[in-house]
Amino acid sequence: MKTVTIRLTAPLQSYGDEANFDRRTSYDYPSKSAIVGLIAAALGYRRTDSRIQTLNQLDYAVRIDQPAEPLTDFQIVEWKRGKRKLTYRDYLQDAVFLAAVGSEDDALIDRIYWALHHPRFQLSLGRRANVPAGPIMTEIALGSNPAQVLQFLSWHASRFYMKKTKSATFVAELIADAALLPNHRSSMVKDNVITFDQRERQYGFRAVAFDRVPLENPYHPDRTAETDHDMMTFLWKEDQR
Amino acid sequence: MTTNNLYLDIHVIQTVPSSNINRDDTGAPKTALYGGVSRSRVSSQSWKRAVRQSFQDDTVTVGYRTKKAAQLLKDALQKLTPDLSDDDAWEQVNAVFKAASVKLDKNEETSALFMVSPGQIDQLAQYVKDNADGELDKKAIKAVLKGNQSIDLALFGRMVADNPELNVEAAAQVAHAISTHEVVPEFDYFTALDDLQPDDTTGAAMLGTLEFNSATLYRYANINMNDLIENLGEAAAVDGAREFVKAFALSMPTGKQNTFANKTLPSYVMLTLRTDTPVNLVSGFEDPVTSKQGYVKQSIEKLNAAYKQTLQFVEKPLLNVALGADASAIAVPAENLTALLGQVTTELTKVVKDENGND
Repeated sequence: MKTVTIRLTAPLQSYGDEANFDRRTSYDYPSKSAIVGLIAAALGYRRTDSRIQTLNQLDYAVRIDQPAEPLTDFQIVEWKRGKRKLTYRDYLQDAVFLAAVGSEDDALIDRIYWALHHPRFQLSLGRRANVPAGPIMTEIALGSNPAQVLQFLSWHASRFYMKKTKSATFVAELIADAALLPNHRSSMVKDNVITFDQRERQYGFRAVAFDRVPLENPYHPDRTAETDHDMMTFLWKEDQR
Repeated sequence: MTTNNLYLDIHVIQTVPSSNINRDDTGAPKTALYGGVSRSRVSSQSWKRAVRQSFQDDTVTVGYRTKKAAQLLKDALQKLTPDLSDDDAWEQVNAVFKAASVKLDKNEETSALFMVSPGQIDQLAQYVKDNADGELDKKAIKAVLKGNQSIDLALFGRMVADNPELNVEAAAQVAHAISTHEVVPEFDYFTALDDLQPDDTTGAAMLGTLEFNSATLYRYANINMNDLIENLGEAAAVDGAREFVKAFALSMPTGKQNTFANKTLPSYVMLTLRTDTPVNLVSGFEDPVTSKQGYVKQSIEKLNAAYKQTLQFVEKPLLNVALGADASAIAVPAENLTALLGQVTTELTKVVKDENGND
């Protein structure tokens, strides 16, 4: 099993769940279909390409390293002078996710890894305008499935967010294919790509399971050199004199 | 897949003074959180519309985004065949749309906005005229609707729900512009007097507040040159890229323009031609710029630093040119916008030609 992890971050991301024209909503983490779409775009598969379906077979897990602040954006669609329609789109702001896909087919993971750095089509995080911030950051792990890899990878949040977090550990949510997390709470989501073909865009259900991963906060005072700021210790030292 | 990727990145630093160019449903300027602080935001769709309008002002032929595509075809048809009656014209137009699998409602309108270029309308009209007696060929009509694309259609794409075969994948990607620094909303309290108010009455006839902000924006867009070539052909794609860069740099959404007169020009434009991947440098502003002496200088410095940092992760670009103060720090400096566009066009032409030579 070879696994590639992808750090997903941008000012805006969105991972549509079931939505209508007027209001387009979002999951609060990247759906498997979003990552399948991202990889398909990188590999140069067009919407109707049947190879997209085989990407569903990749093992998938995602960790929420920096939870999003939701935003509802408002957009006017004007189709002729004076005729307008209001639509609302939900976005995830300022989030960082660590997505991981794995396969027994090492060559496929290598191809995906290369393609993510040489994408045939532009990559976007859920919507075309959600351009990833900075170059895509990836890591490769051997011998572990995506859920295992995300159990031991360090915290990938933004520096400001780590600094802002006052606790020594941050507990990240982990969502994975149910098969990767046996004996965990699981539920069904509708993000198994059947086809991205715009004539009949379809998704099936698949089971996901949930876990929580404690991550060390490198910016917590306990982990930095200066650990001695207990006022009482100082008083106690005074007493000894 | 032996063809290399070819991406043109466009980075712009631009200060917009007190303004409200892109509003949300409460009339306040749009914002986004990034790096834990609130930023001013201008949505990509808003700026793309400004670019389309700029094309028009520049007499670059743009397409129509309309529900009245059938009416356009009917007019073109009657221009070609002046003695054609209204009823006959509509009959032929309906046959064309039926062949293209695009539904028209009882008012002869498409159910959604349909993007069509003037070249396509003219060609369709000619096709109908030439085949007035024979059968309409679905494939030929589809070919017309996919060919002869206007530049905005090629850059921003087309979605036809009725018949996705007519879809055009957009070659450009435009990010929402965000400020490089934190913005706090500002409120302008205003009162207005009634000119005809009697002398014995005092006070304002009207009062209210207006929300606005001022921001130094980071704006980013890229073009997938291979897709643009696929949509437009080689020569037109190079011209199209140049027109897009020009329009993207010089345009601005018109929201509240008359209230604030906030039409500014960019302080810095950097163009990078890459063969691996497009790179959005917004990550350079995750730590917001803080300053007591304006934001432009530091924003440019941060953009340059972010660019340098990316070189650790991506391949060296074919070309990196910039316009504005401090341009020489990391890029080939250009004297003015024309020179900047000239350098990119020369390089693009060269690369596109080389690609051909390899085939």
